[in-house]
Amino acid sequence: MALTDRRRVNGPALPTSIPFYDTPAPAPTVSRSPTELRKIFLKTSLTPPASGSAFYELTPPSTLKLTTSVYGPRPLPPSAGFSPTARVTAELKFAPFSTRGERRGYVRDGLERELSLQLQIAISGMVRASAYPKSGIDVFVTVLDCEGRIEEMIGVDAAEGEGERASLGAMQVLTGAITCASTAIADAGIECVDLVAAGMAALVEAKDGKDMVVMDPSPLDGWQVRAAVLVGYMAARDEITLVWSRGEVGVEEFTGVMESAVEVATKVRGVVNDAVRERLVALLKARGKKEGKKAITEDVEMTG
Amino acid sequence: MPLLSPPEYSYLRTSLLSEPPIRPDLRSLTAFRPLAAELTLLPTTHGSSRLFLPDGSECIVGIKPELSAHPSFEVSIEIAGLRDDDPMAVLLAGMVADTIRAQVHERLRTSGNWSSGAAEGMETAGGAQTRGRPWGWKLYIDVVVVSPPASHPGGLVSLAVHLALRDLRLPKLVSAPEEDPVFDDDYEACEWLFPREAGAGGIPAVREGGKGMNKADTPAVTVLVAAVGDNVLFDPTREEMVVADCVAAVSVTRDGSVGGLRMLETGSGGENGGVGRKVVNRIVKEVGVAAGGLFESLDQIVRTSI
Repeated sequence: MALTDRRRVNGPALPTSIPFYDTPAPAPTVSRSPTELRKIFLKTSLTPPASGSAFYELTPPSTLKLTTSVYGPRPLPPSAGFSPTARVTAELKFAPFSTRGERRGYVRDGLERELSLQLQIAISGMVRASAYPKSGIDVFVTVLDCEGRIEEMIGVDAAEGEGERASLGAMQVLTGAITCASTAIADAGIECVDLVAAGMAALVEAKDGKDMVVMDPSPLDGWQVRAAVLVGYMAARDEITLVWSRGEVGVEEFTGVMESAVEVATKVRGVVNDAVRERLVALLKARGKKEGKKAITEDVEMTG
Repeated sequence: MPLLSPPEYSYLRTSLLSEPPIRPDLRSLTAFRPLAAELTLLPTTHGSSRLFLPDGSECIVGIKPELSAHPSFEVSIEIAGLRDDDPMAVLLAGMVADTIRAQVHERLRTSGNWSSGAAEGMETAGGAQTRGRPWGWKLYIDVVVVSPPASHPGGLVSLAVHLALRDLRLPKLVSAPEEDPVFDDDYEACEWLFPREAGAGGIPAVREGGKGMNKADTPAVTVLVAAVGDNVLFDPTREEMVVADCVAAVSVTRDGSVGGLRMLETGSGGENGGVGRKVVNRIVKEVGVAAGGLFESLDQIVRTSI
C-alpha cells in the first residue's frame, strides 16, 4: 500500500484498549435549548514561532479542541513559479490521540484532505491576496480533541452503528477550524477584507415526529439529524465563503437551515472579534507604557 | 500560470454578466454540454456505463457486487494523468459516495435475502458472517476518467455513476437466508437494483407500474453550478469556473430536493470575497427546478439503451 507510514514506529494497526467494566454511559440527553449556543474559548498568540496563532476550545461537556498556526506572508519557493497574488494553503491534521478509540496515523487520509480543502476555500476568500504578490500564507490546524466520532456520514443506516449521531463530528471539526484559522490570520496581521466565522445548524427529527432546526448542534446531543448545513460567513460584508450541506432537504427547508447557520456564525463572529481585540489592546498598552518610560528619541522597536 | 490573461478574464466575465448573458459556447444558462452515453458495455461487470463530452472528456464506470453480511458500497476513482492519491480523485470519490449513499443503501437493504423481515431479526451484534444470517451485497463502483479532464470532472463522473447504477443487475439468490448462498443460473432472472419503468424493452420491472417513479427509485445526481454575479450557470467549463464568484457541487434527487451541497475551488486563486446568501439560495432553487428535466433525460438514456 502506497500510503503506509514507513518513517515512524507506528504500533499495531488495531490496538485493543484495556477493558473497563464500568456502568455504561447514560444515553445522551439534550440539555440545551435548540437556539442556545455553546460557549467558545478562543485565545490568540499562544504559539510564539508562528506569525499568528489561535487556540479554540468548546466548553464542557463538548470536547473539541483545536490549535492553529499561521506562517507568512513569506516568499514562495522558486519551484512554485510566479504568482501575482498570495497563495493561501491550509492543512488540517488530526492528532494521533484526538479520536476516541482507534488511533489516527500521521499520513494524511481522505477526510483530512477533504477538510483541508474546504478550510482553504473558506479562508482564502477573506485574505486580501493581491496585497501580497509572490508570497505564500500557510495555515496549519491541528485537532487536539474531537467530539463524537468523525468517520461516519449523514444518512448512513442507523443499524450500522451510531451513524446518525456521529455524522456531525467532521462538520463540527471544520466549523471550529474555520473560526480558529480566521482568528489566527487576523493575529498574524495579514490584510483581510473581513473575518470569517463558521456556524452550523441542523434539521432534526423531534420527538413528536416533526422537523425542527437546531442551532450549533453537538454530535453528543443525540439528535436524529436529517440534514446539517455549515457556513463560513463574513458578517461585515454579509457574504458566504463556504457552504457545506449534508443530508436531504427540500429547497425551502435548506434556506431556513442556512439562515440559522448564518445566525450562529454571526454570533461566533463576536467571539472572534473579542479574541482579536484582546491581543491588540495588550499590544497597544505595552507600547504606551514603553513610550511613557523611555525617551521619545529612542528607536521604535518593531514588533508583531 | 493563470489560465486566463487579464483581458481574457475581463472579456469572459463581462459577457457572462451581461443581460442576457452570453456563454462562450452559446449555451443557455441551464444547458449542459451535449453528452453521449452508452450502457452495458463491460461484459465482466454487472452494470457499466460510458459517458463522453465533445471536448474529449470521457468516463467509464463498472460495478461489481460481492456477497457480504452488511450491504455497503465502495467508490474508487482513477483519473488519467493524476496520481492515485491526488486530492482530486479522493475528493471526487467522497463526493460521489455522499451523493448516492441514501438511495443505494435503501435499495441494497431490500436486495439479496436481506429484504425478508424475519432475516433482520436474526442479525446479531457479532462482527463475522455466521451461519443463519442473511446475505446482502457489497458494491464496488470503479470509475475511470479516461483522458486528463479538460474541465472539472465532477458532473461527468456523477452522471456516469448514476447511469451505471441504473444498469446494475444483481444475480438472484435462490437460497434461504440461513443457507449458503446459491444463485439462479439464468442471467435473465437477475434483479435490477433500481427499478425500470414498467414494460420498457420487455424487461420486467422490479416494481410493477413504475411510471410515477419516486425519488428513492433513482440515485441522486451531482450537478456543478457556477455563480457569476446574479447569473447561475450549469455545467461550467474550466474557463467559466475561473471567472465565477463561486462554484458549487449540488446533489439533487428526483423530486428536486437537495441531497448535499459543497463549494469547489474556482481555480482563479485571486481574491473573490464570498457570495451573498441570495446567490446560494438561487443556486439551490435553480438546481431544484432543473432536476425534473435532468432526470427525464437520464430516463430517456436508460430507456433507449435496452
